[in-house]
Amino acid sequence: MNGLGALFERLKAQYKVWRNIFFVILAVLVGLNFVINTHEPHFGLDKYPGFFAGFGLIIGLVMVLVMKKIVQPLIARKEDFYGDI
Amino acid sequence: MATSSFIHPALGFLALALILPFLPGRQWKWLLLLPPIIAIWSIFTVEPGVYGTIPYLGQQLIWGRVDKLSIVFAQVFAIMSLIGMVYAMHVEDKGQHIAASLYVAGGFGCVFAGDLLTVFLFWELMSIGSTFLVFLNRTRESVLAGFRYFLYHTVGGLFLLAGLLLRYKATGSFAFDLVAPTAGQYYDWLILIGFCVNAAVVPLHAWLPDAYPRGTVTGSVFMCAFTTKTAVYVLARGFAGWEVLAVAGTCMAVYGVLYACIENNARRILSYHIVSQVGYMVAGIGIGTAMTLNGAVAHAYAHILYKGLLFMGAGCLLYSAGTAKLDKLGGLVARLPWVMILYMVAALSISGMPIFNGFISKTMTITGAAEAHRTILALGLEIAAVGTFISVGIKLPYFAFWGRKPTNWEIKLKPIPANMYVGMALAAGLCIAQGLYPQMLYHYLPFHVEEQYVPWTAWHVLQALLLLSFSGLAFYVLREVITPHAKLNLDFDYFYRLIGKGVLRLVCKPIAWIDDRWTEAYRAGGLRGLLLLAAGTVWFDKKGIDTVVDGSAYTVRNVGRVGAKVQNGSLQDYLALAAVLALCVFGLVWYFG
Amino acid sequence: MNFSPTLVVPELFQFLLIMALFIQSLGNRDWEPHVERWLPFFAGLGLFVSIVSFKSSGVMFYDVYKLDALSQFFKITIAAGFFVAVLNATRQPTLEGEKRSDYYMFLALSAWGLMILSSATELFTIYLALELSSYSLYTLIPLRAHDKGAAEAGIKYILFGAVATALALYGLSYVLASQQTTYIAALATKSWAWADAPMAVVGLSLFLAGMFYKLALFPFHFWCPDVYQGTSNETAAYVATLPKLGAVVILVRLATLLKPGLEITTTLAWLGAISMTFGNLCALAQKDVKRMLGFSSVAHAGYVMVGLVAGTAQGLAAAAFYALAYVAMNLLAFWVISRVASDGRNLQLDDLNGLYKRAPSLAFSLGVGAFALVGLPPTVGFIGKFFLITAAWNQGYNWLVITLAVNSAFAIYYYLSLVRHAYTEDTLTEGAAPDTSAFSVVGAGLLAAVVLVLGMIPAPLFEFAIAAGQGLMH
Repeated sequence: MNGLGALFERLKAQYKVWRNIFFVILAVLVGLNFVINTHEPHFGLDKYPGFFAGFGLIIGLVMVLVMKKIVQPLIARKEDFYGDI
Repeated sequence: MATSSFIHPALGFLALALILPFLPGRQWKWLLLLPPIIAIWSIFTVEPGVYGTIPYLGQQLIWGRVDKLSIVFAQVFAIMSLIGMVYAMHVEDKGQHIAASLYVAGGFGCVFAGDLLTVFLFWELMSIGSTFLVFLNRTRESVLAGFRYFLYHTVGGLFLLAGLLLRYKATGSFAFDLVAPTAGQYYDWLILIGFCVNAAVVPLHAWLPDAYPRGTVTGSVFMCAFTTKTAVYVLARGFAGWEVLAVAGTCMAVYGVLYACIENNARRILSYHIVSQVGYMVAGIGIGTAMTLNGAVAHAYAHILYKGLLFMGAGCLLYSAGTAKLDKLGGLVARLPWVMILYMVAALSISGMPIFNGFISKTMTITGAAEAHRTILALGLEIAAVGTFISVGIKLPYFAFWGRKPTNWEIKLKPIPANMYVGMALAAGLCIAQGLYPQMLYHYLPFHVEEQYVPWTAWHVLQALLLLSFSGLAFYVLREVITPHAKLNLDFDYFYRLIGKGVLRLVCKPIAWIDDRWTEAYRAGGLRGLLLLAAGTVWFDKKGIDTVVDGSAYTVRNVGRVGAKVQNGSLQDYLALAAVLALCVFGLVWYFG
Repeated sequence: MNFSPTLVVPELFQFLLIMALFIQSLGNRDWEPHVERWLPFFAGLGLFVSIVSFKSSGVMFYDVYKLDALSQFFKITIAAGFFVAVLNATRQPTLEGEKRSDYYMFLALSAWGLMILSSATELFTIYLALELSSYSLYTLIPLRAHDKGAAEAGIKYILFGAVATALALYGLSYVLASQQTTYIAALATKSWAWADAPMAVVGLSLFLAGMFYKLALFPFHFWCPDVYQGTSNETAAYVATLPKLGAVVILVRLATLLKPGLEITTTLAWLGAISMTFGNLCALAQKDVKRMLGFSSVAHAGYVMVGLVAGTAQGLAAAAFYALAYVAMNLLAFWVISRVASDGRNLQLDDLNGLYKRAPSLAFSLGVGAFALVGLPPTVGFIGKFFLITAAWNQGYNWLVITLAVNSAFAIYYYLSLVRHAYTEDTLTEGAAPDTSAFSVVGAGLLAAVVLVLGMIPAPLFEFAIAAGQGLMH
């Protein structure tokens, strides 16, 4: 394990710090959205500040939940289902 | 420096494929870099025009149609072929290099083809080359996957062939130009289907996640770049503005990321992503305004670079750890830090993070869609962007490199050869360079827009950061849910196999029945009669012909023996015989002549 | 007198070679560089020089020496044949060290004589050139490591040759007396019917006898099998091929005199027919490979006659092309024989047994050579015979063409017996092993390639021959 790897090890150990920095960045970005905004909304709603933040979050949550919890149980089979492994 | 002649980039690769089997020793590896370099030089110095026309069947086949659209695609193909060859330099198996060279040659040939027949020729060459890139992985899984891939692509090629032949019959020409969306005939639809197979349009896409994860480590890097982008090129050339493509593209974009969220094999996730990203391009082509077309081309350019880098990163994981399955990997960041960094460059590119080249290309398509008042399509593409970041940008690297595990010392890691790192670094460098200096890419975009799209505005940056970071938040919230499991998710290939089995059963059962009846009749009647006839012929041959032929041969030989006795070695006899025989012949001729 | 050195560059180059060889032959074996080191390169250069000079045209020396397409074509083939023969002879186990430079000098001298012969258009010049090339060869035949058989072959060659050339000179005197000129161009304008000029016809027949001796046409062929068998393999490679080219070029020039229907032409046709048949029949009974090839030369001389009696430009071109094809095929066959007999012995058919195991590339090249000599596609032998048949059909000698076809069938037996012994029989354990070095294999391969390529793409060479033939007929 070379120096770069050791660096990442140390960073991984401090993941809580990174997580908190991440949340701060999220808040800052939402704040900026009130200041910087588009003049030509694509969807009409995106002129409201926080639209893309909410869009990203909701769509992400919905997508993962629907796919993993609803769709995958329906279409998942064992790995060798077709017999060609 | 511009030249008025044109060295077709495919020639270098074809030459390499021809001579590689005959080169001895170990230094031939450096020769692999020569065709890409020649290709890059050729493309950067060529003047637009038409080169290499070959007359055939009363038509002109054009092998070198060079204009802005083909130059931009050929340029990125050439750069990617160099990166791919550098990445593959460590491979000892010459067959893989030959297959890759033929494949790349096919890609160049399609891009520079000016008529449909040439496109078909190189289309099939690409199909063969890529099939071998899958076969040469030499596992049972890969061989079966390669076989399915080849069958499927042959059928796709047949659609193309049928379409172009019917088109020739109807219009009398093989020319390959834009078909107006309102003027499409049934043969144009056949050609479109043929192209869409290679472009992996849903529902014709299932070959891609079936075959690409099973290719060789280096082969999949080539395949991800060329087949689908050649299809994008031909769609941009021939079918720009077709509404069906706009809808299909958006469906593809969303479909791909939905599957990518639930897949387990890293390269399969990336394969579904190809479907998704190509969906952006197809949608851009379908909408058909100059900005969306430019966006599609820019996206293709950037996509080749970052998708290649993604596959290279996943390929490094596969090469090093022996598996690409995310449920088996994890905790590798300390042991493969550079792979992680280079992978993340690509991952952030594909997601559209500012500084990287996805940011300058993806948003162009979406903006173009919105400006053309296609709100639903733009929405779909934004949804796909969210899913992209979640699955490729976070899920894949998280579960491969971190995965909430301590550093995984149990997995034995093969050391990764230096050339793989060099290839990845090249691609990463280009991704960052284009992201910071977008004019590098925009300069080559073929379609003219009044207002040049400017990516680096405060709003664009903020919007991208917002979208991506909150998608990241969604991942963080659901990180236990999205854990990959080793499962096979059914896709449209279920239906392909069903159709295949049905056709097979159809052919086997009735036709086999007929064949059985026929064989019976043949054996009872025909064969017996034939054997009788044969016996008769043998008798005739032995008793009749052979006595005559052998007899005459023996006679001739005996005559020869007698004649040769004349040559008795005595010089006086020779001189005497010469004089006497000459006089006899002359005399006879004068007397009777 | 009109001497222009730029027109005769190939001859001058060959002459310089002879001078250099002469100087080298004055010394002993220790003189560096050894002749085998430098001669092949310069012989190759000579081939290049001939190819570059093929457009030369003009007349010199009071019209006795003519350079036209025909002469340059033959000079190129002579240079090529000389090059291959020299390469072949560099590995000659039966040649003593001190005699090597002399050997090559005489070889070069003989080739030089043949080059002069291709350009000679006057009977005395022809005679002189013929004698130059023959005398040089007489010295080479006995050079075979104290072998009495070689000495006997040499004596036979000299004496038979002496009688033949004496007859030729005698015939020349008759021609001079009755036609008052010895220039071929002038002779072509005279009448050659027996009724008009009987003495001239007799004279020409005797002169042609000298040419037929060189070509080994029946009945002047008796020296051929004995000489091939007696001399060393490498010398036989030269004797079997290049002198025939010289004879063919003279016969092609003289063919302008031979209008179809004349008695002299019919005589030639009959001689050709008997030659083919007799040669093939005798070859059937042979066990010594070189003796068999000697009889096959007799047969091939007959084939060349078919083109000559046709009397058209195509016929002459076909004869010239077939001569070239014959040289190529025979050089290939003799190359393989020289390499298989690495101790210089005479090969019997049984010595070829199992060659496909011992030296597969040599066996394959031998197969190509045998197929070419039979006249099977895609070799140059087939194309040569094809051109002969199409040129001679319907020119009044259809019976001769049919004889050619029937004889090709006879010939299949003994040529393919070479292949049969090489491929289907198993090795007998005596005898030295064949030479399977890179030199041998590459040479055999290249010669086989020439035979095949000329057979598949004969057009460029044949057009050249047609141009030469048409130049003559006008």
